[in-house]
Amino acid sequence: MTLPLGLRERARTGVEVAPELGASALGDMGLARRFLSCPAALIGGAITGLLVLVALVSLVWTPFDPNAIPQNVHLLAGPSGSHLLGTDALGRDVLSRLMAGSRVSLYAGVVAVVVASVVGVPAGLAAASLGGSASEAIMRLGDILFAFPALLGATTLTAALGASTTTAMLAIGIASVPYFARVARSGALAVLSSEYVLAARAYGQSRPAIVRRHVLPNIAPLLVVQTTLLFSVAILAEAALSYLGLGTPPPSASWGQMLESAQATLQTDPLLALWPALAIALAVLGFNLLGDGLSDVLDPRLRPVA
Amino acid sequence: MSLLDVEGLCVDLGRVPVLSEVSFSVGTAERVGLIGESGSGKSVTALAILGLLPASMTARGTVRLEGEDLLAASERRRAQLRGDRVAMVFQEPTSALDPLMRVGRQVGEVLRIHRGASRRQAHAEAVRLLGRVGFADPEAIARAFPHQLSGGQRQRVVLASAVACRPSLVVADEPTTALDVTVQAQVLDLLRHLVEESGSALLLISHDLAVVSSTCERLVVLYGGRVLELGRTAEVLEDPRHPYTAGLLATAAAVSDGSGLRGRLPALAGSVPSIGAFPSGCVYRNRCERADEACLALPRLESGQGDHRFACWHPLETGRAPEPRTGEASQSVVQGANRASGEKR
Amino acid sequence: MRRRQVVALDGVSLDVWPGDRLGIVGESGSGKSTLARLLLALEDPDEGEVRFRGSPVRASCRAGLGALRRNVQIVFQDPLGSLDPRMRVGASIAEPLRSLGVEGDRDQRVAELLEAVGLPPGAARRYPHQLSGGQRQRVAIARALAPRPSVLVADEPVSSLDVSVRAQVLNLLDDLVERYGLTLVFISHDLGVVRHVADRVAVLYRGRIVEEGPADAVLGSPAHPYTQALLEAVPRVGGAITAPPAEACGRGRSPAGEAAGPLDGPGAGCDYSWRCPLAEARCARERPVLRGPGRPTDGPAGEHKAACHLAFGGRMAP
Repeated sequence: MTLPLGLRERARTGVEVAPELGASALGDMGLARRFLSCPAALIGGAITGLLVLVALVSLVWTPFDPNAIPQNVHLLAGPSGSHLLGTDALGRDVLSRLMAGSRVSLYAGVVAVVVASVVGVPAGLAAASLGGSASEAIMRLGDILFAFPALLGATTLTAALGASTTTAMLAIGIASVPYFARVARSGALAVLSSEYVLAARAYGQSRPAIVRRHVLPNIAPLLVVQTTLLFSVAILAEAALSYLGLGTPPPSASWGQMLESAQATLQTDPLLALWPALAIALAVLGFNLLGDGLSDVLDPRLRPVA
Repeated sequence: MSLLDVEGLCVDLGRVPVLSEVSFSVGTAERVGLIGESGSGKSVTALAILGLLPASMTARGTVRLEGEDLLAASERRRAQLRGDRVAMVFQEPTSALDPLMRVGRQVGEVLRIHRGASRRQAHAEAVRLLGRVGFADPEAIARAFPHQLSGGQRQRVVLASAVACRPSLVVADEPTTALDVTVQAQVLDLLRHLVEESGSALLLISHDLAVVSSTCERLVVLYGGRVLELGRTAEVLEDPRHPYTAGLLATAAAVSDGSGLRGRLPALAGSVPSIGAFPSGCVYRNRCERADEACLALPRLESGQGDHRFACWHPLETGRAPEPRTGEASQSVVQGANRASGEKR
Repeated sequence: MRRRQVVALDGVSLDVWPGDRLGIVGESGSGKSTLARLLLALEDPDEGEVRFRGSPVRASCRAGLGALRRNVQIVFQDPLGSLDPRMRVGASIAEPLRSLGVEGDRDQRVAELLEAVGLPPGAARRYPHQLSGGQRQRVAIARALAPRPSVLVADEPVSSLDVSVRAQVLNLLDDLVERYGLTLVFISHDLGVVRHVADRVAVLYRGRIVEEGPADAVLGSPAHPYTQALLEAVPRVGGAITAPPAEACGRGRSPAGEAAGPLDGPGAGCDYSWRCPLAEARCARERPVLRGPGRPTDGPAGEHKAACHLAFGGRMAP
């Protein structure tokens, strides 16, 4: 994690650079250029970008209707000119279902992230800035949530609300609240103990203003990284829960569900399971790479040399 | 032959030069001071000598320790030499010590690595060394953890482990900058005694002319990755030839000495450019009041009296005391320099 | 877990008058930074009080703080740490204006302040890590001056800077104090630096004031052996090093207690006696009070005072 390095330390790193105003040969790369020069961020960004693009395209166009069961077609057809990835046991086009499934995966990520951050970040910030017993109470509550199995939560919620992507992701989001709270709290604690916050107190800035103007911008990179990582967790979790029948209900296409239905014919048609598995792996890899890359790109203190 | 011979040392960060043709030498048991402001390349020089440059930097030239070229040596050979023949003292004693290791073990570690000492021998020697660096109860200190010691005490511990193998050269990079003035004086005093006792040479690196000049026999003035002046301490202090040295000297003398009470201090005009942004020709010309067209060409280190050498086209006349430049005078210089470099102080 | 009560400051009384330039000198652990935080009401004292213009202020009570926040500003040691790394310089300087609700054109005020501290207007768009140490400290000074304070507290403002840059920043502080008629409290471990900006000096040792008075008297003829040691420790160009008695060489102290940190508890005698080359038997028994050369107790305000049995006509070398 990237917290302000040695706040009161005057230790210098190997290289001393005292940039003056004006052009510097090392340059001060903009965010975009740093992003482009970081392979992990670039590859991760490309993969997630592709995912988003596919999801958007699937809204208006897919080769075939992903859900409707067509008449008079070959079931379990191999890849061909009209069905690029073949058809499934009900004769539906696999490519179309994969494309539609990407939407479910992204939607799952968004729900989980919104739930986790809307609850977790304020809780973490409150725990950091209130201190004392309030902070203890918040963090212990987080621990309890943390210890509660996410799967059990998902099952309970499904029983109460019925199986849907939203229900499943609500469960994943709630289970991820402690992560967000912890990241927000530890980042906020580091910022709150810095001299610039002391200076802000000295010119009379109120606590909410300090949190809004100094803490949030400084922990934002941590949260962004956490968000991308939660996206990959959510995609995996959605697939797993759908596979178990706790997530996206049929007939809507979801990668987890495609895996589940491919299981029956795994011996004869392994390709049917391969496509959704590949899609899941690629999406998770993409978000993980993006998260790793962003953590380097967003923190100017980790930049080479300066 | 000198103990340490640095010749034509160039270090590049990518395509940006950090050090350019740095040459100086340190004799056996000699104390040499390397002076430079932040961004002068002084720490890079130390890292290059120890073979500890970050991977992003490449070095050319030669660095000979007792005749052996360290830049050409294998990493394995350099690791053998580090701590044994050449030891390093860093600025921040807190981060130089492992917080989870007792002080005695840290001091003895270097003996176990390089001398194959047993645990017991290493401990006994560590206690002896801790006594030598002025701890009244070295046994108790050896059992302590770094966080139980004050900054000055930690730096003593670092010094003890630096001289443990009686290295022929100790490189100390700003060893007292993080310390209080009183503690600084004690640590400098100790450093000097330790290297004398173990017959080591000392390369003391600092931004503070007062610190360096009170400890070292010879001075090397570094600026913009180049050596601007070098010579015996007394000669350089009495008769600085490079305008930069003279300016540094006037500032350092006034800041540390405080001949009067309140009043304006002579200050160098402008600020140090960032690495790679130094002007072509003389690196100091955009801040120098003597600069003219001649300074567009790179001045070489000219020899003055004896081994007193400087790199300047318009050196101060010999025998002239450093010009007392007041703040007002330097103000106008600043503006001149600003126009030249497009930079305000 | 057992917590030990540490006393950072003990029985310190100080008056700062309008127009004062007070220098406070002490080593790390002397309590000087705690004193700065108390002056700014960032912390509350356990005993005693801080009064601003006659009325007591407390960190825990926001109501009475308005005048203090507007009038007393601070510059810290490490300008990189005291500036928000994700805030442009211009925004940092404007922050106090925003939070104190100062009326007027903020951009124009920022430009004025940058000019006052000798930075080009373009600096407003930079981030702190794009500036040099000296430039960053100028930004920190500009931010402190933004709400037009009457008192400026500077806590080690130049000790993280190169010597060559120190002179520039000290000159700047001197100019600004003159130009805006500021009251200055300048805190440092380096007497050599303090003497350039202060008219009056107080020397702190282990949370107590051991000497205080006009700068020329305290620095010209120090009455306390600790002040003498501090003066001698200032390195001089070409001079020899004069090392004061070492903290580490004290007689029989445990490693933990040896740290020059806050004291363990109230000792009987003079805190400095175990380092003092002149200490006599009574120094270890009896704590000396801060007194002037004339009467045995408190002298007139501004008088040269020292807390040493041997000062002013005791058997101490001048």
